[in-house]
Amino acid sequence: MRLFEELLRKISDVFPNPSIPTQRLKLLSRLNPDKFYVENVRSLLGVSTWQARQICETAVRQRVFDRLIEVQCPDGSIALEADSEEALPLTVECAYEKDGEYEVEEFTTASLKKGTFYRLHEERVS
Amino acid sequence: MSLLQSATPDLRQKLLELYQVADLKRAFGTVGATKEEIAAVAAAGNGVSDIAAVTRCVSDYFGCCKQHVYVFDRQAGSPTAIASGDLIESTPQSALFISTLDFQVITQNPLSLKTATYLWPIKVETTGACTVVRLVTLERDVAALYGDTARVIARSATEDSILDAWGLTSDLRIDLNKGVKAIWGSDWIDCVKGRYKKAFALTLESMDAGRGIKAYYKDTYDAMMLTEIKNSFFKLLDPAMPSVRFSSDPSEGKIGFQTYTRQGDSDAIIRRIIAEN
Repeated sequence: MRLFEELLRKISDVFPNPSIPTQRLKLLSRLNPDKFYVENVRSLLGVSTWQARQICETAVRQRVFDRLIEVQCPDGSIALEADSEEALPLTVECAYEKDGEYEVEEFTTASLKKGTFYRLHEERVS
Repeated sequence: MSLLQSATPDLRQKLLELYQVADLKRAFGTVGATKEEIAAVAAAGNGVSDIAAVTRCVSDYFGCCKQHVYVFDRQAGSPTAIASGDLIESTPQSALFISTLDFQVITQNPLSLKTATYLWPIKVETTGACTVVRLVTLERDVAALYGDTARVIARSATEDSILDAWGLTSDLRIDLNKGVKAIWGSDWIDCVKGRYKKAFALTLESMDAGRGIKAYYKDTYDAMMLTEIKNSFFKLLDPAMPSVRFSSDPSEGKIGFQTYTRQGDSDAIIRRIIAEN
């Protein structure tokens, strides 16, 4: 719970909110600080999608969140995650079911849909 | 004259091209830079030694090919012959067959119907109390020969028709849930795409970026261990077998290898699932 309270506090710091009811705190326990989406934040705070996206991007600029990118296979499953588009490989492999059998096929990354997700920023001591 | 001997060099070449280039180089030496070049040279002759070399390659590296595997109760019997094909190698524990297989392929630009013939390697093994039938998969390779828009619309034989002709019907297949769950429980594998049966739902858990269900969603793993696992996709966690993945529909006695593997890897996985079953 402590980690999620910290996440909520950080979100509140970036975009001031009225106090969060206990019910919303309970929903917060479902979030994974290692990977969450705009919609997770939107539904937590009860704001619009646009507002939630603004919150996340502001948090990235303030180094509260990290923004990462994921590559989606044609069936919607996630093939790969990376820190940026530049870090993506040229091709990825996707495993998918066709006619009841699994197949593994290589796709060019450029041909696949990309998505954005966020992670709670962690300072790494070198 | 055997099927391999009487086949055209082109047919023998396509047979060898089902194998990965590293294995062809090991079998025949580096006689060419590409798979096609190595296979063409190796398939050219039909003398006794040429055919023996091709047979050795087909046998030695069979386990490395993309394939579907069906596990039956040993009491179902073990075939010793195949229609439209030859038994090319036989040991007390295994029989290796080559069957001819015709595909009807429709291509666009221009629109036309073509027939592509292949030599299809199929292996039957007895392992413990099981008869294991292993069939190399090649339908996607066939369509790829004719371009992205080509489609296979018919084939002269299917895996089911081969198995049915041998009397190896689906009701004789062994349920592999116990074996798959044992190797999952021992952390030899984790599940990347898990399909399983709840009381009132069929559920799919598809993990991001190759993560494993047991590592990230223990509750789902616990649930899957107590119910029927349906067609699911797994990865090996064994550092000795990096990047090895396979599928299994344990309730249907099926295992699948969708990519080439190193010599021995697929054999080890099949043996261990059966041993733990």
